[in-house]
Amino acid sequence: MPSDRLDPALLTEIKTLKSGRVREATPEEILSVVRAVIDGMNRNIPTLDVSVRDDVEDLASYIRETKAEIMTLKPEEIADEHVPAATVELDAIVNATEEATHSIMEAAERIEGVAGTIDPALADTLINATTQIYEACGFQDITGQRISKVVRALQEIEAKVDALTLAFGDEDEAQRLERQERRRRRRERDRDEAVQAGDVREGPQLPSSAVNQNDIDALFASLG
Amino acid sequence: MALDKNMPILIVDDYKTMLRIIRNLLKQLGFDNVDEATDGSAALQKLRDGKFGLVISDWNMEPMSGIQLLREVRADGNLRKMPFIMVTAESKTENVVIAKEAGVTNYIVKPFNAATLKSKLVGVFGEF
Repeated sequence: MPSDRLDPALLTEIKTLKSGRVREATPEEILSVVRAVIDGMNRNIPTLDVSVRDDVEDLASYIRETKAEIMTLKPEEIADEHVPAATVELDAIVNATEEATHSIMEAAERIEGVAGTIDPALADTLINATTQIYEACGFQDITGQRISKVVRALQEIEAKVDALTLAFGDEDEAQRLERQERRRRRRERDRDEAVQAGDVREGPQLPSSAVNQNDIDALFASLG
Repeated sequence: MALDKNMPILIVDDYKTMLRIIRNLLKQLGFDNVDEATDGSAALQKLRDGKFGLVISDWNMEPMSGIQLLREVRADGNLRKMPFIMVTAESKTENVVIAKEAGVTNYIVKPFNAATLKSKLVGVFGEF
């Protein structure tokens, strides 16, 4: 259909959406444009082009069905309940491992304290053992940093789901903000009760891609 | 001149577990005079208030990170020669380069062991 046969207002709307100069179009806006195209076609399209009109109608129907299916999945529950709950659980793991690690080190410190009062040969054995315990306790720091990375990933998912809910759901921006605020208050409350979150940057690398101390030493030396 | 093992050392990490590990390992190496801070800004304040012979710092801390602390130390006329060892899980090449350019004295990757800690101290102060 030649563009000069379309409603000028509709043409402008289509051009604006295509230009990408505006915010992302909502499904409602896309549906509105599709409907307007269908109406225009119903008025203008020759009988020979009826298959095109059918395709556009199918597209509109597909968007409606997809929207309904997504909302059936209740994405707001993911952002409101599942992700915050998982975050709190992960934070609790960090806290629990920290407490356990301190208990282990406390015991090792007591053993080390005894070492000074016994036969030097036996004392060396005890000291070596406690050194190994201290070294092994480093797992808690690494675990905490890894879990913090997972928490940050969950927060990213939460933000994406929020955007999805806004695009496909029935709530407006004000309702979304109100829901986010409720979630923030609940999370703060949960955190007060359970944990404090850590914050790191890249953090530990996975063993498959990790750089070891020898690599670091070589790199460090090469830097002069 | 022999290394004075009573030299004050400041260890900086936002994980209390790691502070305790480093403190215990330093104690086993004979260093008993150890103070702690849990972020860069608290560490900087302690460094400016006291006379430390070494800083051992984590990278990942808020509000002031280890690398920011290092830059502040190097920019401070009274602290700029302070030996500074970074102990961190940030083991990417670019992190090491950034730290080196900022003037770090040595770099330890977590998880580490007592032997590595000792070797880096020897690297800074010589055999002890």
